Amino acid sequence: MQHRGLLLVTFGALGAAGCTQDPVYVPAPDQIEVDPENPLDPENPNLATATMDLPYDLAYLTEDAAYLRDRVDRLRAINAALEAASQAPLADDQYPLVRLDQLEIEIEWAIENLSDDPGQARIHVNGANPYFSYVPANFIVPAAPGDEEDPPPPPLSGDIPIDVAGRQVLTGVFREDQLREAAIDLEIVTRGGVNPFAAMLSIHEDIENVLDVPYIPVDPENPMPPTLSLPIDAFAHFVRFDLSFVADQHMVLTYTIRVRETEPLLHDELLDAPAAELMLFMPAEYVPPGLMPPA
Amino acid sequence: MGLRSVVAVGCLVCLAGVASTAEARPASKGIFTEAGVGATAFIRKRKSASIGPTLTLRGGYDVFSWFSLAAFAGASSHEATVPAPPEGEWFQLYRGGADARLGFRVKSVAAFAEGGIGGAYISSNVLQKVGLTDPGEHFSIAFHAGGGLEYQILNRHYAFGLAGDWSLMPQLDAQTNLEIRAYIRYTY
Repeated sequence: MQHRGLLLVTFGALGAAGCTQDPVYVPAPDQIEVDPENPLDPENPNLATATMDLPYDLAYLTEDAAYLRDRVDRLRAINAALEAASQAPLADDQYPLVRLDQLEIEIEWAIENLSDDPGQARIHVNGANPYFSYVPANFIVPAAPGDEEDPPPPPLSGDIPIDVAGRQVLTGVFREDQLREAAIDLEIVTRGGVNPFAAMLSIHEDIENVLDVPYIPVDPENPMPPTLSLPIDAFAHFVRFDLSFVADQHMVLTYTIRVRETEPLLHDELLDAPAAELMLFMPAEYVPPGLMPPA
Repeated sequence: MGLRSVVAVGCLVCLAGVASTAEARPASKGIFTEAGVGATAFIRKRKSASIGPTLTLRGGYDVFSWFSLAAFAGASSHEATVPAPPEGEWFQLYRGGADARLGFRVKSVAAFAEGGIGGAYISSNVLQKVGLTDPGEHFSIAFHAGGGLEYQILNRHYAFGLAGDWSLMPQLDAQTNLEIRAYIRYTY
């Protein structure tokens, strides 16, 4: 009997280990290269950018009966709580197809300095959820005549100076908690309407609703406080990453996105899947009300 | 056949001859279970994965004192050592299946050879970067063959052993592994 128990426990442990959220690695289709001496864009010789859509499975998100039923049930529960608090319920299209609580995302990167000289690099992580993309330049408030223009707000994550010796390869990671915070900030800035400087400088891992964040307008001359009560359970996660790589020497950035998902949201074949089987999100480029996007 | 193979076969024949005359230590025969721990190494693409700890369970039946059938399950955990990124990531390799074991015992020590078939599951696609998995691929048929030595203690139910198995997973880019494990066996 003791041996049977031991056997059951051991097989149970093996089974449990097999059921944890195994990560999926989505390799970037291309590396990002900056060569200040031979720049692709002479106006920005130290900058290169890349965009990567996460390969969400169209059939699962739009046709899987259990997933859609669960989505309806969750939205109903959220709306019941909102109505109990005398707040407006969410419409179906305000409840994201890809939620914050369904994924843990990490970006692993490696920078190789191809020159003999030491240099400095920065990685800016921006991106989009199903609703909006974040473009820092869109938040620059036009300066009054004679005044100096404000700098753009920080990226959703990154912008840390990284010293790289000549011919050195450095590796690093944007952790799951950092990208979760970035996804929360994206919602706070866009659907919450909060000033991105304020959003990026505070940690919001414990908020329950976008209304928990102190409202600081993008343009103090034109404050437009949010009216949408958006519970954390209805926050969206990233569907796209926009990476910018800034370097003062000839360097290459390679990266891989690591995803742990609670259900099979990503297509089995990842970026190798036929385009028709991938969910095509069309997030709008967010421009704060009252501001014009830069020309 | 090389000289080493001839010597190995000769040794086995000699041992078999001794076995027929020596009196084996009393040991239970019938339903048995085994639990083993050890290490598994990737042979093909060995630069892509570190040697990792292994846990193996086996349960079966001794059809004869020299022949048994068993079902097994095992798991090993490895650090992916692919070119970064990613770096420092681990994955698990699960195996299960059935096998047969042929052996003989000389006094308290038994030698055996085993072979079987089953399936293997790799927990992530981290080795896709080096072509070990294709997109969306996690499963493979797995064949294994190996052998070992077993020491029967005075208690007829218990034995300890050391075993090694080579395995082949055709769908995982024909990956081959080597598993070495120490185990304890209980025969009911």
